[in-house]
Amino acid sequence: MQIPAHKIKFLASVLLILGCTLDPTNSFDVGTDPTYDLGEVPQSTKIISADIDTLIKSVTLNMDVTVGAMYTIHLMHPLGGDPLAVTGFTATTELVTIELDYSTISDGLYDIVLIDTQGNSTRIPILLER
Amino acid sequence: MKKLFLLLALLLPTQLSAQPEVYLETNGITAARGDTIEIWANFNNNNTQTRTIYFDFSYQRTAFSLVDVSFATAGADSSAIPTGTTTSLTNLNFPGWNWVKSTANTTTNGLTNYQNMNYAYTNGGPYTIRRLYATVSLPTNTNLGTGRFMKLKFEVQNTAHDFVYDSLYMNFAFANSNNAGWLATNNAVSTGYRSAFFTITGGTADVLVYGTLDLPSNVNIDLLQPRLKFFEKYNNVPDTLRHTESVGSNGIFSVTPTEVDTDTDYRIYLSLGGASGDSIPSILNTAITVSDFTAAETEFSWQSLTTGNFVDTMFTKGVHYMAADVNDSRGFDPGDTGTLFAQVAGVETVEMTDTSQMLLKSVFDTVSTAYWRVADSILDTQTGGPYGMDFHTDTTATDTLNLKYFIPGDVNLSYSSALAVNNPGAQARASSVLDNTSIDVNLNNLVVTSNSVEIPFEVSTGDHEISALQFEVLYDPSKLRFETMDLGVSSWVAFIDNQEGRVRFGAVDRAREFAMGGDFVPFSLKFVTINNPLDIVTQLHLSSNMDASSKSGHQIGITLNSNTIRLIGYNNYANSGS
Repeated sequence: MQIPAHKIKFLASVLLILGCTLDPTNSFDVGTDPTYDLGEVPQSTKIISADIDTLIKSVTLNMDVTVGAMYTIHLMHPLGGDPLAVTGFTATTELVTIELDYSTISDGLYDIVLIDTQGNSTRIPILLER
Repeated sequence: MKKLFLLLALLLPTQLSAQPEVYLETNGITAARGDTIEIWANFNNNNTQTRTIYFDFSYQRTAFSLVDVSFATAGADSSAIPTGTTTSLTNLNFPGWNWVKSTANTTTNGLTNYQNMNYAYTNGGPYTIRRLYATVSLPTNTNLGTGRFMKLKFEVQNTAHDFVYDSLYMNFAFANSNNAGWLATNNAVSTGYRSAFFTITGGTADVLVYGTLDLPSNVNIDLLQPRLKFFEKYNNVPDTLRHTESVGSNGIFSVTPTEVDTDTDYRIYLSLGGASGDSIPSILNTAITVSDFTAAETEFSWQSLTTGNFVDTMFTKGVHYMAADVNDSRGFDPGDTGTLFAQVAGVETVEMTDTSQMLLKSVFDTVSTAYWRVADSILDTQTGGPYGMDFHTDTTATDTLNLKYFIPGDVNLSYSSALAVNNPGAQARASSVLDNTSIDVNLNNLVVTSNSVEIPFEVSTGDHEISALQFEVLYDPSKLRFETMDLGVSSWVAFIDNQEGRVRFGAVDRAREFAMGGDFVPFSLKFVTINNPLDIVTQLHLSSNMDASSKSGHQIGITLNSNTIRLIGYNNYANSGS
């Protein structure tokens, strides 16, 4: 069974219209909003250590980062999904210590993920149990 | 003394870079259904102060139940755990989840694999992820040693006789020391294994029909769902569906006397896409991509102007033409190439019925380009119609059926059985890991600062010129809405197929005059955030459904820098006062 010629013509017309309706140039610039300063380009995104106060579910995170760069710390379920807690900061020193309050988080095993503005990340497991 | 210093100098870096090692003691265990299986995860401390080991295993929960996890006896000769140690374990189970392998997460360093972890969830899926977080509290001035650490005890479920078993995989294991944090950890580098295969005996019965269906290495068995239908023949006509046999991911099938009768004539057909064919559209989208179209169109355009004969440059075997004959006219004509492009563009669908194109292996590999359209040339070898198989059962499986199949339209056989000879053009299906002929595609993560998000696809073709490209991006529709695509190759004909949470797109140089090379951005996808863009946290994933075609119409590979694009709103980085 062959496709009738009129069907091929119709198909070609549809594809031609489809091709023509796609804008070959940038239709509008959605570049970064200038009011949002993303800081320095991160050169280092490392977690050095994590100290856990299990009694109050507080985690003291020590990190090796880039001065002036922005970072975000996510508390995640082990296999991913949406973050349970988010903490952002701009590094003022290369070695940054941040205390994370996870007192409202249920007991369990989680990941702490440090992410820079380039999307580079590093993670460590963390056991929160009173 | 100088020699001593030299010796120390040589030894010191070794000690500083010492890594602990975790490994499975065995890679093969034989057991019967209902038995329990024990497998040891062992540890080589290698002069570290390890106090925690974090494991990630995957296995078939439908075949094995983890009934116990225990530590080696402290102080025993074979144990890595010294006398006086106390242990604790956190055990998490994630049914339906499975590890998605990549080059980055299948290294011999467990910490690296953890950093690059990637999972997929299937509702009710047969696999499970088991996370085990094992902690030891050691006597003062004592460390773990080398030997057995933790025992996993599985019970084998009462599976069907032809159940296809998969291995137990240790996806990662890495250690935490009390003086150096989380450590790079060898996973079965110097000894042991990272996976263990269980051979299950018992439950088998006499087999009447045994064979293989040749499946491609990249097959998604949950998508393809190959099943063999056994019709009992009456007066040489297939009359009653007697049995449907699922083919496992290894392509092996076997049928017992309880499923079909001895000394009886059957005709066997192959069915793909599930009982109601729900997966057929996905199979076609996966199997038929831009390089199938470019290969077919190239072959068609090169036919002799005087004789009309094809020159068999792209299609070297009859099965290529059979796959290209999507309108089943027993010829290769403009209707075929038109329908192929319509399928790629998502405008029209290639017809694929419940009875799929199955051939004897011997026919599949040898049918020539001259005789592929002559049904008799196939039926001389394979009775039962072009795609059926007549078979007479004996009292035992005296014959083995070796079968192959192709998806109509999959002319380069990327999602069909492989030929015993080279496929047309490049032989492999496009994926992120390919050999010498490939292009690079770079994708970048973004900090989101407005509700409009643009994702450019940066392509570097090196010395190659390309004439077609296609990708598929999966996104969370509760967070993003696909808006449009900017086309950077304006002379090509583009196509977009946007479904809920999935956009398939590409473009083809149909005029065959505007092949592109070098560095360029053929596509930029534009999304709009559903909620406040400054708060968004989401990821876009590229599926394996991607393809590229060279100027000559051959399929070439795609090397991605990442198959994930991370989008994080600005507020997630802003100082939060913690």
